[in-house]
Amino acid sequence: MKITNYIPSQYIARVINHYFYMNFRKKILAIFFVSIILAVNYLLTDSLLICCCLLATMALSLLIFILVNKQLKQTNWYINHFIDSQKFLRNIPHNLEICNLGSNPGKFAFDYDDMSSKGENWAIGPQSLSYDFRVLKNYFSYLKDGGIVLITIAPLSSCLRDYPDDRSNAKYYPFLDTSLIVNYSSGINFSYIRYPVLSAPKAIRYLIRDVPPDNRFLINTNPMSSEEIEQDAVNWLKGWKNQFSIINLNSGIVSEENQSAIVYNTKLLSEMIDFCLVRNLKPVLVLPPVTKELRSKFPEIFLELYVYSFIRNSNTQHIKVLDYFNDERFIDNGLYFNSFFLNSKGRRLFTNSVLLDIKQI
Amino acid sequence: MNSIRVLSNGVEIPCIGMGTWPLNHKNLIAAVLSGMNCGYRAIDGARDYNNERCLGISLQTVYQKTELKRSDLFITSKIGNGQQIKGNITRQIDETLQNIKTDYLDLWLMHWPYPGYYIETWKQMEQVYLSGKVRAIGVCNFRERHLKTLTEAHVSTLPMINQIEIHPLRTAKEEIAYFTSQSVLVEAYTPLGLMDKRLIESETLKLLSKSYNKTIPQIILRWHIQQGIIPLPKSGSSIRLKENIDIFDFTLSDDEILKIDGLNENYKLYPESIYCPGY
Repeated sequence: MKITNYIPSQYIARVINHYFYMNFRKKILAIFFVSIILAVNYLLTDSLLICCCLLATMALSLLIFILVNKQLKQTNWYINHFIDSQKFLRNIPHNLEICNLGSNPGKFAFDYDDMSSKGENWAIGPQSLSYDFRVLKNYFSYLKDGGIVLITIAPLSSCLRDYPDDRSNAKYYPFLDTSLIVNYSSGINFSYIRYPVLSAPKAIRYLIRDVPPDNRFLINTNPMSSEEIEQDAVNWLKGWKNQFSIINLNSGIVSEENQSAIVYNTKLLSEMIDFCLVRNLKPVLVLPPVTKELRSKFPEIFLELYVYSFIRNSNTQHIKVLDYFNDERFIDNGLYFNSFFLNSKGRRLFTNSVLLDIKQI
Repeated sequence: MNSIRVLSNGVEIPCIGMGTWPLNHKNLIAAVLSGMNCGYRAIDGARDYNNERCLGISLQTVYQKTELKRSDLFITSKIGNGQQIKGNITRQIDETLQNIKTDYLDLWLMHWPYPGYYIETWKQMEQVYLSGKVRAIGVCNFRERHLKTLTEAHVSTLPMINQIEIHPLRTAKEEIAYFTSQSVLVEAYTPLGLMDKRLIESETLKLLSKSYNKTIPQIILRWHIQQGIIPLPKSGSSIRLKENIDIFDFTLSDDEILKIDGLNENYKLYPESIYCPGY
């Protein structure tokens, strides 16, 4: 964690400076607030000295609060939470030729640096298809006329609805228009984004002992052994079964809840495709590769019910589908950093292949 | 060159106006006064610029310090996305009139075709137009598909103006041609492209600037005027305001206009979806 020397006088100067930039109503409110505190203190203590001491203590507490909050926002703990925001907060190039959406499988599948096409990876992990659409709605104007939109489909994209806990949407607050955030709350914005010390006071411990930075994007080998990859694949599957209440992948039965989510996402994907076409953008559906260990866990009947029929039913406009789920070119485990996600080496190989395949469309 | 353009309903509009975003308070009052003294008669504001009240004060200052009357000016304001969501469009115009301290607007625009709202907004804007509180109504940032959606919604009045981002880095030829064919006059916001480095360093513009003894912004504004587009340059500096309107003593040839057109990169300084998600 970066430690900087702070001079309290600088903060006082900043607060005063901030005061001068407040609008008239806020200035009056600030004066009113301080006057009330002074008056109440004076009435309670009947001593101007104690009153001033109390006020000074309050000011000092506020200063410490601001200082701690600022430091907390520089911890890996905080930065890791909003790591996907960064790509939207820096200057996005205009007239992009290509972008991709998606959850973690999309996030770790594409890297357009030094590629033949000017592109941006707009995937965020983890994310529902509904938020893919929201990101697209907010940022598509950066694409050139006729630009390509890669919509990444993962094995269980069809079942994932928006997360019910509104706090899981906090990661979108720094860069998504408020109208696009489900149940946007200025309270969450205030306590999670601007003043995290309010929502997670226990996180102050990270000022002393921080968590490691999320540098999964930089990994260029697979640190897992074959056994570990196998176990990782088992773990992923276990997690999904749990999350989507799937008892047996071979059963050929889709629960009512999953069926309803598939219907919802089918309509959504179809709308996304139409949205692109109306705006002269070219949508392409992409199924990224996974390791053979993970691939082998999905029976054909499951893939048909949860992936391929979902794509067919959504794709009434017959846009291009690029399916790399079974692609032999990405069978090497050295291209991944676990059983599911491509590492930087795999990412570059995969992006290059997709760009070449798109040129043939 | 005629300094007046005529809207589809016969209302006359000056061929150049002054923008007001993001001026506020003292800057705006000084700029509006200075602009009017330079000869501008059209002024372009918006509720979302957060300076509508200040624009009202600025105009009062103009009436007090010059011989200009309300009827000499062409005042535009816009209805923002927030007001579209609220839906009380007919009440919003009263607030705008109160802010600008006037009985009527010369032109009232819809700032963005806000998805899910803009058709209803337009229908209510038509009611306001019929009430006489505004002399003309129009839109901003409309594409062909938005106008077609309005037409399909069987509205009774088509927009008289569409204000879009146009400058040599984004010439928007197809849009201009389409809207002109529909009798919709085109206004240009950010007409100088924020004097992007590519414009300042453009050899074409440098050469034209030298041959006409005009500045690059003057060449660009002249390029707008000769295409029948109404540019709305903004400046807080009285020198620049004067310079921006001093463009009626030279004419660019067709070939020179084509050369400026050649700078087009379809580069949007304000990507629409950031300001109007789902645009």
